[in-house]
Amino acid sequence: MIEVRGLVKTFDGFRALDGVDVTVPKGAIYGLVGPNGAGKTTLLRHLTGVYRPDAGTARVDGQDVWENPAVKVRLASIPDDWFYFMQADIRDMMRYYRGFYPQFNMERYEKLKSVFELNEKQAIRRMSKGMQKQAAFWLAMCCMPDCLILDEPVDGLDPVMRRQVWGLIMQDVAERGTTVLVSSHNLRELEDVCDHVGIMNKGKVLLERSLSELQDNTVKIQIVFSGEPPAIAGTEGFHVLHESAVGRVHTIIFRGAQHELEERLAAYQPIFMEAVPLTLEEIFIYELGGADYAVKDIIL
Amino acid sequence: MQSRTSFFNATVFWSDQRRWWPLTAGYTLFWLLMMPLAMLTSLNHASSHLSAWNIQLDSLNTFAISGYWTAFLTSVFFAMAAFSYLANPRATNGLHALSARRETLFFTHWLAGLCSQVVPQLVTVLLTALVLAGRGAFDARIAGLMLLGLALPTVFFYSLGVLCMIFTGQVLAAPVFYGVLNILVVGVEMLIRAFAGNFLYGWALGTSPELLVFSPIVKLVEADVGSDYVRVPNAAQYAAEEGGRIFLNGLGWLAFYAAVGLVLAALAMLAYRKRHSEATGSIIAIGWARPVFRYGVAFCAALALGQLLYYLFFGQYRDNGRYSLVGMLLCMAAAGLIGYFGAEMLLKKSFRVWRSGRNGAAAVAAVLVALGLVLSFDLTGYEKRIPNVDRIESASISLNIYNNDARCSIVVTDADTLRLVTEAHRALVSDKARQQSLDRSYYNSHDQNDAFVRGSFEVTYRLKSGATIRRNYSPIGIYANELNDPASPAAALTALYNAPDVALCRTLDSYSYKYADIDPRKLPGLRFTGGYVSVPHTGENEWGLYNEYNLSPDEAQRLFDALVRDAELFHVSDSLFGDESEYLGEVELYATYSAESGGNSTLSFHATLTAEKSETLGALRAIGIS
Repeated sequence: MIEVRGLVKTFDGFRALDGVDVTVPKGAIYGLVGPNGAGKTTLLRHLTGVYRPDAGTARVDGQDVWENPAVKVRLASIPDDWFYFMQADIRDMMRYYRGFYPQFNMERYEKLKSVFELNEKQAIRRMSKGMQKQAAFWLAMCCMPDCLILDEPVDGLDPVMRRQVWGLIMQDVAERGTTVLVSSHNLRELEDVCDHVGIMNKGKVLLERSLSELQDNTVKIQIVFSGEPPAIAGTEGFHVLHESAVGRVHTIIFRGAQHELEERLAAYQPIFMEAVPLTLEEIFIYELGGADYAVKDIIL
Repeated sequence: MQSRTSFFNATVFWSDQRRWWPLTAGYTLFWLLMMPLAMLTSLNHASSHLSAWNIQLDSLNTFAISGYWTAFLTSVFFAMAAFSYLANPRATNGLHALSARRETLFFTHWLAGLCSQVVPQLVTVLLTALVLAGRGAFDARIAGLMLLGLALPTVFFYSLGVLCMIFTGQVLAAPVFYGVLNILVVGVEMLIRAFAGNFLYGWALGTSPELLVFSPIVKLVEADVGSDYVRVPNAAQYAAEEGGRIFLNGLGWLAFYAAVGLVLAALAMLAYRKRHSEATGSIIAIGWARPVFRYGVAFCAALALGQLLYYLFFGQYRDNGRYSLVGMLLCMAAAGLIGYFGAEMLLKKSFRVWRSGRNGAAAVAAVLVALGLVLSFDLTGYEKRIPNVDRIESASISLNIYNNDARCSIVVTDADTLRLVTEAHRALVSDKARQQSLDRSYYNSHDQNDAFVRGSFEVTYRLKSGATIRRNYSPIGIYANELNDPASPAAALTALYNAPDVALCRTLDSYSYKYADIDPRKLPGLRFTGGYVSVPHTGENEWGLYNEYNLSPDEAQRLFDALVRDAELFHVSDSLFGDESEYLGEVELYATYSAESGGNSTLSFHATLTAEKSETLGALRAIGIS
């Protein structure tokens, strides 16, 4: 669905994007994570046709986004700084969007009134940041996009509204196969909703994986031995990413398939062995740990 | 789904109209007060001798003049409103993320801004026509001209404002650029002329008329845009004859600028397509224009501020002969650097520009100093460039002596006279050192000496190749004791002063100012309509009293013939150092001639009567005036 290849963008000599490659499959919820200044917003602005690439391509379904209304009409975006006219209320902006999106769904607009509970007649500039975000969601969802591009989407929303917004997005993905590309500097926020994740830093995508791929390939095992623990790290057949111990309980993070590791570890006759789930944050810390990146700065 | 080639988006158009309706409403109100209401008041209070038709004609004039001035003053605000989103990053990104091509956005915003001006203008004209129709004076031609007078300059000035908005990412910079662009060429030309005049002897100041076209508001003022009409032949009355042919003076220029406006709009659209969204907030939003701005500001600062600095530091002592080439160059270079770093600060939005700008600044200073040296040492050969007579089509000369009435302005084509012109020119160039020294000691005691006169000499050669060479020497100093030296300015200018063409020009002196390029003896269909002779009283206590005698057409013709004979016989003063002839009175003759454009044109001749004009005095006696 979304394909970015070798994207380069330079601002006054500063290389904000340095050969970015991103692939977002159709119907996926792709989380783009990175610290401030990583280039996430710049990348998203290329995908919404705001910026022209210096080099490389940003395509949706094989077509360039830049100056392509036929593609852009299938995209809806909620940038971090959503634009509305100074005097406009939600109805004004609804009419404006309706002029650009022929598929704008008035029925959905009416239905979502009860979800967002905003005053349609109130000037948007008088609304709080969270309310403006809700208004942006409301209108974006009514545009019936094939692809939703969200930049820090729930920033400013209260926890209840966050859940509601994510619920709406998930529903759209499930029912209409909408592709979602969402950026955040907080990985924890995305781990419950994303099925694909990419990490950006300094204008590059460091890592791009599907969640199942990551989870199938990294295993965290807590294990207790009756006597002196064997030296597992460095032993052939074990790729240990991290090892720690609290008392006699050893926590080891391996790269590899869970059942194969458990079979091999059983040979050491542990008195206790259990595979525990890894958070997305941990997976990325250990995946990137050896790459000489300040990983904690990136994903926390 | 929107077409890829669509140039119009109704949503954007109507959104724009809703957004700036107060601006449109204010503009409409302004015109309604200016025209239909004012017209109604005029009709109700008009003097009895002015018909509704005459008032209508006046209103066309008002429409035309206020039309281009209002367009000049207000159009840029509509451009700012239409493209304000390009000065706000959030708005730029918001609109550019929508499913519309840049062409669609541009043309729709441009059209929305234009309609917000032209529709009120149309309403104004219709209401004005309605008011006139109520008085039975409606004239569809005048209504049409009114609308053209309003709409055509609007197209141009609005498109220029839009171009400024596209080129900048700062909304307040747009009116500054807009104002500067309107006078840029004329202003820079004046600065360049002033700059070159500091270094080059004979440099002619003034504005080239052909360059005025690049300064639209100046050109429209100069073109005297307004209502006009064809008078009924020989009609002496001021008021127009009803039913006479009405036309809008300067309509051609208005149409020309409107066409240029459309070209500017097209250029603005091309620039907008290339403009990056991230340029919003920059003083100059188009990449290639940034160095143009940087070096343009440096150059203009060097010319304007440099000359001001020179005046402040050195200029006030120039009368004492302390002209300083080094001082001028230093001031130019310093001002150029100020301009360069100032522009760099604006572009970079930072005061820390020394490191990034030092190479460019050094280049600016070096170019300015080099330019000053090239001009000062006349390495281009400008000062010595005097064309050969066989290359000259005509020469327009103006010689004025400040100490007395010796003067003439004439266009000469005769080879002998042209030779005298080039010899006088060459004599002044050869005398450069002394002439410039005189220039710098303007108030010295020579001015009181009869053997020395001060004046000016200006010459414009039109060459057969079509080129023009223009020189102005002012002031010049001429010494009577050098008259015997044929290479001296005194002898060369006196020889020119006494050339037959020049003598005729001086005899009919007021004629020479307006019709210098026409030989009065060869004017087609020249026919005298009258004139008068003014003779001062000669008695004691009668100073300032004159007898005036009116002349019939036949008498005027006879006097004209006599004046021409006097000129041909050189019965005029031959000296640049003062005329000793006794003053006897004045002659003014009125005539008409067949104009090239058709119809008759009028002109007048003026001559001073002196004792040596024997032919004229004889003719006067013959018609009974002594």
